[in-house]
Amino acid sequence: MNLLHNKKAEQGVGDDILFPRVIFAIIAILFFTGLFFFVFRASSGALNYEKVYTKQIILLIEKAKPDSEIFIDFKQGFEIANKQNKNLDDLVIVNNENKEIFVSLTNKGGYVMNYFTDYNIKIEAISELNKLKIIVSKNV
Amino acid sequence: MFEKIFKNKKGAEKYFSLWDLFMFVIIGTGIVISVYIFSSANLDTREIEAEILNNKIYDCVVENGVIIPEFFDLDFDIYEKCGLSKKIFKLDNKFFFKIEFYDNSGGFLREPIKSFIDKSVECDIQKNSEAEHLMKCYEKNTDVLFFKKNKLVRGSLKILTSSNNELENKNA
Repeated sequence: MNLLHNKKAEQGVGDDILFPRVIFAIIAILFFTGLFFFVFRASSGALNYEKVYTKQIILLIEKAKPDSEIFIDFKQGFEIANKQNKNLDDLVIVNNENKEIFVSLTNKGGYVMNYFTDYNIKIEAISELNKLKIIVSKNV
Repeated sequence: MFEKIFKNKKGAEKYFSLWDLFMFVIIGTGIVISVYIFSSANLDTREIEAEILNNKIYDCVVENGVIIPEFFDLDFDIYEKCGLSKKIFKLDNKFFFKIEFYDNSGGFLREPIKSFIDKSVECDIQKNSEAEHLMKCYEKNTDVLFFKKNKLVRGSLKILTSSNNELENKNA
């Protein structure tokens, strides 16, 4: 209460006490909002999903036996790619020659990783089911 | 500019004290560092890959607890039998395996089979080290049976595998 109604306030100098505190509060709110958005983006951003999907696909391929089909949930991947207007068939690219998988959910590049098996890998995006189909077959 | 933000005409703190700024920097840096550590640390799958490779080799060399007969052939191609890419093991140097098979007295029953570059020394170092940059290894020792003069005999199979396979950022 004294902050608003002290003697100096009656003399017209009260702003000196209240105004800086309001400014401080606004700066603090802006700062913590910025931090909140940073944490939110870092935890749900494309970068994280690209990394996780790449590793997940690699581990599944390495563990898979030939002549098998694996379905993985790719809902977040499709959502991010749709926001970025990315072609859904180009989200996961397999290079059977170099034994590598390239996952890119945005138009700014992505992540690539090798796998050690010598099987023929084919990946299909089934956006209607939010799934990715991995087909593992023996090299002919 | 600095004076305008931090101090009023009387020299007292205006909107923001240096202490406030320091506090915000500490909180901000702390959160940014924690988020960075959290998002990067949990994605190391090298140990799991080494284990998968180990199990894959074991599954194709051992059937129902018995070593497959062609394992003893001199021209036994482990890459073809286990579906492993020769190119990746040869060129990229990211994966390694070594298979040893010996009897109860420790004598080799077969020449060890290993990938192109021997990384077993690195695995020995990694055992006693917490260093993150070293490749991750996985070792499995199992008692298995094998046929010797039409009789089943017990032997020891040691498979050592390692992985240094990591994500690479690639621009479109």
